[in-house]
Amino acid sequence: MSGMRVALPAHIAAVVGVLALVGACADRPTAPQSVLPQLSGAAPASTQSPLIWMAPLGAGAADPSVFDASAAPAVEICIWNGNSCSGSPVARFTTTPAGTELPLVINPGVGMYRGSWNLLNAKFITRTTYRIRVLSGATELSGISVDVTRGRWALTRSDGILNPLAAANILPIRFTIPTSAFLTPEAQATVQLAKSLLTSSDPVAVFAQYSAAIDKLYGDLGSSAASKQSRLIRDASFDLNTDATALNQLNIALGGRTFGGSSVSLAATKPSTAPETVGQNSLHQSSQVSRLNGNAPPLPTTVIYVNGVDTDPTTAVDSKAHLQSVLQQKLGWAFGTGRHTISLTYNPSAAYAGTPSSFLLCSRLRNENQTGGACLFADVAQAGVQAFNIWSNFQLGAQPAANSLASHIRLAQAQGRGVIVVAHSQGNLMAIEALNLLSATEKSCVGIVSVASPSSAFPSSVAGLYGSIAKGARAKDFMFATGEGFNNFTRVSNDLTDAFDTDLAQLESDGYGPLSPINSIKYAAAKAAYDIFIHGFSNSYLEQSKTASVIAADVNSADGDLQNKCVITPPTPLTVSAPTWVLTGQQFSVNASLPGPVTWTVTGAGSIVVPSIVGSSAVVQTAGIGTVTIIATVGGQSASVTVDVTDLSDPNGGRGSTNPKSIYRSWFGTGLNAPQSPNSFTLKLTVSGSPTGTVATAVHTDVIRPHNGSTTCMGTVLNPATFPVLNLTKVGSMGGGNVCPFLNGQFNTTIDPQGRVSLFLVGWGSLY
Amino acid sequence: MSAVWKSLSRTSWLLVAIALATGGAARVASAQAGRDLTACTLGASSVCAQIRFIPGPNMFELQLRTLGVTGAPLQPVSLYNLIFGTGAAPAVTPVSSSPVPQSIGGATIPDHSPWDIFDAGDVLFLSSLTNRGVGGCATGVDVDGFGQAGNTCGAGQFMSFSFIPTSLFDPALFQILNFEAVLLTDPSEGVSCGSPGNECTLVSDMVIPTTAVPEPGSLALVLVGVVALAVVARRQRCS
Repeated sequence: MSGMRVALPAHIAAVVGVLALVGACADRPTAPQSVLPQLSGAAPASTQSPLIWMAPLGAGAADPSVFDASAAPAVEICIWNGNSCSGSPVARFTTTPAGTELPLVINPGVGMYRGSWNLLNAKFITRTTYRIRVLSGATELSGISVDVTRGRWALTRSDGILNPLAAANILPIRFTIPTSAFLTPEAQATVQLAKSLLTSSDPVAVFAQYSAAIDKLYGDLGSSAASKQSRLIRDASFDLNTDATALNQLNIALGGRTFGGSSVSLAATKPSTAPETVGQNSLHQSSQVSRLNGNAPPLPTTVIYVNGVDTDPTTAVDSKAHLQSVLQQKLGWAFGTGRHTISLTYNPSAAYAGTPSSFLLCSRLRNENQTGGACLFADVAQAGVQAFNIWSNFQLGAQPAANSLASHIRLAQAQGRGVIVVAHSQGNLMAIEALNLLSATEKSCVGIVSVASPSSAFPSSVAGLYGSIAKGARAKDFMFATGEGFNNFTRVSNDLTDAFDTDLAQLESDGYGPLSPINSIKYAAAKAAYDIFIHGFSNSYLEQSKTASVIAADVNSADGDLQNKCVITPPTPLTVSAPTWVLTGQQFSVNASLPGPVTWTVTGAGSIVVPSIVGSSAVVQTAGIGTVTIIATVGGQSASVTVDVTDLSDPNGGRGSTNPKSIYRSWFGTGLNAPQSPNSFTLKLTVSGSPTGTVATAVHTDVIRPHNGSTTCMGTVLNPATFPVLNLTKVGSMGGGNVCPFLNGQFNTTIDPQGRVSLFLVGWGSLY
Repeated sequence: MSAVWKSLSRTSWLLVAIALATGGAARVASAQAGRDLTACTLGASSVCAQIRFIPGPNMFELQLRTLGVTGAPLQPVSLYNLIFGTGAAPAVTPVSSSPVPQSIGGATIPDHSPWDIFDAGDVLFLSSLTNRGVGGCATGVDVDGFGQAGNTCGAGQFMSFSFIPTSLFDPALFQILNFEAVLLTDPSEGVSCGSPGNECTLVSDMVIPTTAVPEPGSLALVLVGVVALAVVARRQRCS
């Protein structure tokens, strides 16, 4: 195990601060599109095109996974009169230059097109506005205006104000065009499912279906194509502005729930988010068993993925599916067989969990200005609380999602499974908090695979602790870039970080380096975009071979550690005991066979009031009549008991009736579970109404007798004087046997195996 | 004095006349007149600058003084880019140089980073490579990467740039093709003139007298003439 425990540095708050500044801890961060235009004045670029301008002309980030390298665009630069080009283009760039055309280089690693416009032409003798147009055939994809003199340029503003012209020998023309790939029919169907998330009355159930659909997409298409399709599905399903409120509600509804891993009944479960006590499940320490040495069958394991901040549910579930695909490919794991399962515990975005208005503001900023960081304040505040909580040795209560994660871990362990938590970014803070809620024994059955964590301060008592963080020489995962010491996990470069490094080096060689005062702004914008982008879990870790291999190897190592260190004894199945027959208005107890926390719920007709208490037993109060089911849930297990609530005083709704010639058998619950020892009780029976008159007028014998299920008379009348019984005769239907002397008063009886005593009320006349 | 003049011999008069005439003729043939103009941008935030063109036989000197913003004397401003049409023919081989700004008249120049001069013959480009230009009296910190390399406050304070021209420029033929300044507000704001329809306004345009620094040969001839006058006068008194 390469794990380590380090004291959480005080400057973790600085990490949080950096989060607030640069944001985008999402699985798939949204590139900040307009940082640069805001700094230098909005450029009148086309906004309807999917084309994204990158620094220095814009501040968008490329996404190589959706880059359309076959778009074959051309760039033309002309003198701009405000509305149209004046004269012939002064420069033309193509991917296949001919004649005087200049090269437009395709960089699939970064996911962009790049041309270099030489500004040192002596013909640039006065400040002139030029239009840089990107064309696809004769169609303009996008255009952006710049003011130029020899060796200087600035973005043209539309408000008439001039930007000062910055010195530069070269104007890099860099942009990306997202793939024009269309949705497959399968993906198109999933779009409808995703859209219904916003309208369904049961979004949890729909999201479970959505999760399964994404899993299938990965299985059918493979990770590369499925990842692109998944993103297109998301983009086609939601509008951050118009769907803001619905998305907010969805986020809240799904927060803390676990999706996937259906083979262990984890689907869409949401344990209590109330704080839990430590060490209360059925795990126990026994002699260590090494399964790796063949001394025991393999321990089945469940991978639980926990997303970071600012990650919408569809992106989080995509990351889970992507991780599953990577583990299948790299490790050969077959999910769904029981040996391995994988699920997502959704860490809701705190920003989204706020008021709809805050979400609307956030969405507006994201959509219009593409400032991904603007939505993170609530999440960052949450992360700050978590950091303080960890630093202060957990003086504060854990976040609800951390409580849920702990419960999900216990649930899996209760089903005899080891757990590997794969956490990304702030999900690691959730994992640390959740581990704090577990006992040492429980932690010994948890493996951690940390990705881009704000902290490496995990407890060392886990079965296995592994982690990694992506970085390049210039482009660094911004968690790493904020300083060292708080994350001691392995730093890994990959093709994406290398590509970004190459691009940043080119920017530096063009004069857009940190030493150039004005150009450093553009350089910093590009670098920040890259730093944010390589933080994304799906795009920069799972889609890159090197980091994907590291993560898969870490998961495999954690699985091996679990085989060596985790000993799980599945718990006794949960059962619930309660009287199955009670009179309305009675109180009785229900008991769960497992210790708490037990969640009690009641379904069905009638009503039983279960106090909102947490514990393994509850005293409940009956009211009304009918059949109700009392359900106990604890440790992920559920069990139920059905109770018949009866009202003898109600001739129509209860067991009694005015219909003569009927045989009525009623059961009285005793509140006990089984015959007692000694199994003899004195009960008091009162027949309401006018027993003397009504019974006495019956033609046939009226029989009221205690009965335990047989035809044998039970009990002894203790006070026959107070319970007059008239015209007693034998009753053939009762077995033709005894006529029990009957009573209105006390009698002795016993409790049957179901904890009941019964009365047969036999009459040919009204009993009431 | 009149007696002296009357007493000059014909030979003496001839010597004096030759000396003075030769010195003066040599001086006139060796340099063109300089030019001192004050140009302003248009608009509410009009930025004005005094620009002096000082030609020499081997060097050409540009002297810049920023006068500030009209109506806002406390507004920091910086002049960082100028392009001139020279009236000369295009150079066969344009020349680029990197002069360091020099202080004239007490101008303060904390940033001595070199500027770029690109002499294309017919067009002359002067540009601050660091985006720090010539400030006026109002000093200001860098904004958005732009700032002041130095400050020229008061008459006679200039930042000077000298270079070897590709041809003998005639300052009288110079015209401003581009004048770029920046208001050091937050955010910064560009101010520009020179382009068609946005020509700079010339507030003043004067020829700089060319007698201030005669060349040594001319000065020697004049001295010969003066000495000759003195000798003649002495002989006259002695005789």
